[in-house]
Amino acid sequence: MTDIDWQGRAQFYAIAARMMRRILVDAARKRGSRRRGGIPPKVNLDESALLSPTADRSILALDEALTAFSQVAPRQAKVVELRYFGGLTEEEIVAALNISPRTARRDWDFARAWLLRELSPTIREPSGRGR
Amino acid sequence: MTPERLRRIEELFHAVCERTPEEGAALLDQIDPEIRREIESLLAERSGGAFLDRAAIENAPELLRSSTVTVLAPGARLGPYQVVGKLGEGGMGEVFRAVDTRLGRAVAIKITHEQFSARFESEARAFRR
Repeated sequence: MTDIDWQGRAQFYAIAARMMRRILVDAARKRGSRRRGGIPPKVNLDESALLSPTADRSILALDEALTAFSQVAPRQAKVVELRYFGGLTEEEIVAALNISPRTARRDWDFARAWLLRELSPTIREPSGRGR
Repeated sequence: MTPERLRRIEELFHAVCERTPEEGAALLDQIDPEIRREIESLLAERSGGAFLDRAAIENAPELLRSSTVTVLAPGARLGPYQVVGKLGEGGMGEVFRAVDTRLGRAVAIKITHEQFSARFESEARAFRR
């Protein structure tokens, strides 16, 4: 495969991950406002990512924490976006971001710890257990 | 949090991770208490299952599967097709009896759990007649 192919592909993955993130966040937000408004949710086919209130809270909190984290650690935040929202493997992330496997691994380890620490009040309450 | 401070925390986090527990503890002893607390709170997150470890996209097919029952209840409409009831279920997906309201004709709707495969398409072609 040529370099141009790869660049195009990497860009495509990045955009797909970003879109997936936006779709999930928008859906979680919409469901949240419906719940608060007391309007019973109407299930549509395209609303395939039907999630529990806990999962919705996690997604929204993650989105917020990830945005803040990207201000100070943009590459590390990108790794999370590609892996969590885009579903990319470590190998694909290496190619998409043009980084070494070691950097990809370290970025993930650090970003994961960082975000989980930021999220711990959200995902451990009120059930008292992480989900 | 400045990027510089974050960089320092990140470096030390990896430095401790890559050392033996004893060496890591010795390293932590040398750094200032505030940074040390930061590192320790991050190190505590390394263990335990976390929702981050499963890509968001992996949840989608499963969730679609569990919501099919609600979505395709008798009377539900999918465009011109009105669902009459469920005909059966298999490893690949579920089949529903429906009516094409434009022509008043009975049709079968198959919902697959997986992505459309070549097999699914050839099956659809074969049944269309």
